[in-house]
Amino acid sequence: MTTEVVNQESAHNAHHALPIARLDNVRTYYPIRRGVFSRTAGYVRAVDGVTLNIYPGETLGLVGESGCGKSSIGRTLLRLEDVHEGRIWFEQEEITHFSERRMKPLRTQMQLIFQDPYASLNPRQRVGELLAEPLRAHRLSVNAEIAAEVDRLLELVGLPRSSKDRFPHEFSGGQRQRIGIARALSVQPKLIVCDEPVSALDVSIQAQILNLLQDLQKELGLTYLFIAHGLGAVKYISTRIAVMYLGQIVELGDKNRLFDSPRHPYTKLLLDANPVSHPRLRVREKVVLDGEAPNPASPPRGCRFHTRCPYAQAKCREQEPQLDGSIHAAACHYPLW
Amino acid sequence: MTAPLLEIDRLSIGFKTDNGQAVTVVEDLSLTAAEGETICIVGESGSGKSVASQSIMRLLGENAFIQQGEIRFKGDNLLNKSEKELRRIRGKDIAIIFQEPMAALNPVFTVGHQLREAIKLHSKRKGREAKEYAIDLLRRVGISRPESIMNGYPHTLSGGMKQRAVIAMAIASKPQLLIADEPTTALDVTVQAQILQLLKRLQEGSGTTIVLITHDLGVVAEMADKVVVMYAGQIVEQADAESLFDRPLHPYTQGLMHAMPSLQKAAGANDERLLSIPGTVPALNRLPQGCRFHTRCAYTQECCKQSTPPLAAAGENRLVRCWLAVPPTGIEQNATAGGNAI
Repeated sequence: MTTEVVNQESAHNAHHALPIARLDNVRTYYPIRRGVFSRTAGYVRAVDGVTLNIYPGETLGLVGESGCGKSSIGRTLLRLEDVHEGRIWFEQEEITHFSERRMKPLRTQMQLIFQDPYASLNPRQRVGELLAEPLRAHRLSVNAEIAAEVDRLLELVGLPRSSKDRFPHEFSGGQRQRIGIARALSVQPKLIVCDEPVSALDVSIQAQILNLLQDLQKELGLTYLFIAHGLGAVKYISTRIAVMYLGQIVELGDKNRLFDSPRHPYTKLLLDANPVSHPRLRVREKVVLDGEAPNPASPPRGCRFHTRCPYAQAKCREQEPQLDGSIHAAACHYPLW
Repeated sequence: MTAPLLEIDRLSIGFKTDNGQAVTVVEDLSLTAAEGETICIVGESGSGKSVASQSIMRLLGENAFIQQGEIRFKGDNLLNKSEKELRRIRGKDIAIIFQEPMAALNPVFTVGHQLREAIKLHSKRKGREAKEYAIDLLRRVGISRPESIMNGYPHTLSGGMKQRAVIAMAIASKPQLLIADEPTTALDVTVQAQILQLLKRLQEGSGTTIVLITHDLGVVAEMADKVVVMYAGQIVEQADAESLFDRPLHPYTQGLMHAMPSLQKAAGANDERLLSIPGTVPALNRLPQGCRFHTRCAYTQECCKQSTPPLAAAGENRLVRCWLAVPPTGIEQNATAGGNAI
């Protein structure tokens, strides 16, 4: 493993440190059960052979259409899903088959922020209690210090101290997301998987939360895996970006290079699908990505994108392209450049 | 000159709350839509944009009531129509599509059945003719295997396909006005692009007027001829799309534009912080005095806290509700008129 990491490492000149987390050829499959005996009739291949390094202090953006497996990658990394194949490392330690007991101390190191914080906050607990709970569960603070720690967390995410006596429903969507962030931060994690953290929020509030996440990263030295389908938010917050299609990463590179000159036709079409920022930039006969992604239970042979790709050729139907090892990597037989 | 297709005239809508009080959710809203035009109503949650659009079809719940104003469709006030007369207009002359396509689809009937129902209701087509028209409609909304979709139930379709089926139903009677309430919000950007392109093509073919409700300025930039920006139940700015994006006048509109992380911004500019609007939209039963935006505005002056600015002309075909764009001196009377409406 070490040599592999080092090789990847030399490709990423920008990152001098070893990855904080690593997925190595990971496959996460969900069984499809049929019939009275619930026999397994096949698998939804949510994550199908993904290798990914996440470096300390970076924000790795993960984009793709719904159902492409981006949330599954986040959950697999946190060991919330069982892997079918492949290996997972966290800080140079393989955690692929760690028991729940061995995972527990690591749970403080990696946290998850959800799209809908309301669903993850117990409606019958006051905010103060919600924030104190993880501190007690992981024995991070002695009782006497908990109140002070809760105050510090609230201040960190920009909520008034009086919030601790209120219930989650008394807060707006943006404030609830702040509570969700405070709860994730309470255990002092190193890595946070942000799964669509701003998708459900109003535009003016999205900007507040994106700025907050960025400030916290600087202040606390956090690493983010930022999962979203909104390309604008991803471009704004990320250092590098990985583009997913049907369970696989098709392009991976520095955000500005990837957005300015994508190599994979899918990335190009995904970017083109994003609405313009001014009416004068409208394209009259816009090339629109046709159809929808095929069923991940039976992905197409060869390149998975060939059924929708305007440039597909015979080779694409037969042979599966691999992610080339360059700094700006693409999995395509005929990349755009 | 003939009357515009749709005229909303000084419309105010109130909601009765559980404790017997009334809150005004849409206040003094006026707008007109000409034939073939696309009007976008933009705003955040709680701005009143959906209530305003649903009132056109008189689809508001029991607890809603019209406080004042008229909604004229081809010169006729829809608010005076009986339920029976309305039923003839709904779905025929005016159609509506929602964010969630399942709001319009019945899960226990096939797509074909529901589509044929819509066709039979509003046209003379029956039996085989209705079926052929249904297949034709599905093809027009970009469904490649319409025959098999006809026999399928809604849950077997993806979100994008469901929305297409709903659009097919909506255009079955060739409506003159199509109200689209966040039609692409639940969809992926790729499918959103397909649906927006579809709406544009259908409009070019039929000259349908579209009232599009959205929170997404990107969708506005793609679609709108005219834009109405709403905040806390009021129109704060109104302009044609290009002028609005060239030079937003209201601090709220400016804030929304800055807060939108854009792909087209220069690489360098991207490293800057997003300019966010502080705070949240005030609750409608706890609106601040004066300008409703003053608690979040960076340019608040004394007059903003005192009195509500009127929606005043600011250049050609532009309206803005802000004391900065239209200073209070000399138009005090308008200000009080606007204030009284609360």
